[in-house]
Amino acid sequence: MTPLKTKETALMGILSALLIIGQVALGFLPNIEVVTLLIICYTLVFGRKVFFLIYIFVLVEGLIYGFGLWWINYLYVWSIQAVITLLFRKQKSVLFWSILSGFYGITFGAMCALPYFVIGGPQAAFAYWISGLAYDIPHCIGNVVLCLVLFKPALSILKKAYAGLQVEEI
Amino acid sequence: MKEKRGIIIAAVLLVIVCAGAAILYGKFRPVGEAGSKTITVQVVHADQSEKTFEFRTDAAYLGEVLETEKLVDGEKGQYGLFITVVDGEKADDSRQQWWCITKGGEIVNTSADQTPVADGDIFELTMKEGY
Repeated sequence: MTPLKTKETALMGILSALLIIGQVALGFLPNIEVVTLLIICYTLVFGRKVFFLIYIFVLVEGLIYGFGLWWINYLYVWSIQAVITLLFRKQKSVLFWSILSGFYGITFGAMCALPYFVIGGPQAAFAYWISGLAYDIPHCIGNVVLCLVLFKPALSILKKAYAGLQVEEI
Repeated sequence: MKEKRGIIIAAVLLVIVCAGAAILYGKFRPVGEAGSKTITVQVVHADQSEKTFEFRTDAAYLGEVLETEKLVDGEKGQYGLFITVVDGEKADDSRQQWWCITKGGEIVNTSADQTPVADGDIFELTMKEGY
């Protein structure tokens, strides 16, 4: 991983802020979020550097909402999404990314149940996962719809912004 | 063509997973009882002082009882009410404090909003330190 240049760092700061704004702005809707879509797009544009963006986002979320048990989940759930996106980064199909973001949504609660598995065992994790399934289903549908509508424009804007930055530095 | 087939299979799989999730939720979700009931809530503060409250309620879930009786305050999270204040004492995140809900000493793994109540139930709200 090459070190971040000043302008790239500034752009990443702005994009992290966008993640936070997106999360906070849609926070009142049950599990309708743009974070998954943005992380997919960021990963496709920035590659492995996306982890800087993710951990700035996670840190600021902790500062806003407090470092509760949920924060432990945030330390790995978004990174897992980024790793999976990296594995499929050659994919161009909007449908593919929409379905994948749907899988992120429906498995979100299961991924978040891991700390409960460690603390309370399989029964605790199962109870936590089941109680969240009613939210995971709209999360899945929301992710698919948002990705179908916004993936292309979001990725296009990001690519232009990143390309412009590289041209300026030449 | 091969890629198109893969996407169709993935889409069908996603629908099946969602349907499976809905069935699992319907089968295993915690369900509250209708009708009048009396429950006891014991609060254990950070200084280990204890207070006991008894509530008569028609509510089916614990969160509704606690909020109606103004015993707790909190944030509505993705899985329902996340309790931050109990009996006037706020959990201090900087000290990794949090309110633990137990029922008869057993840890409750659902949020207060999703924890069903039955007549005679005894719940404990205990301030814990460290995650």
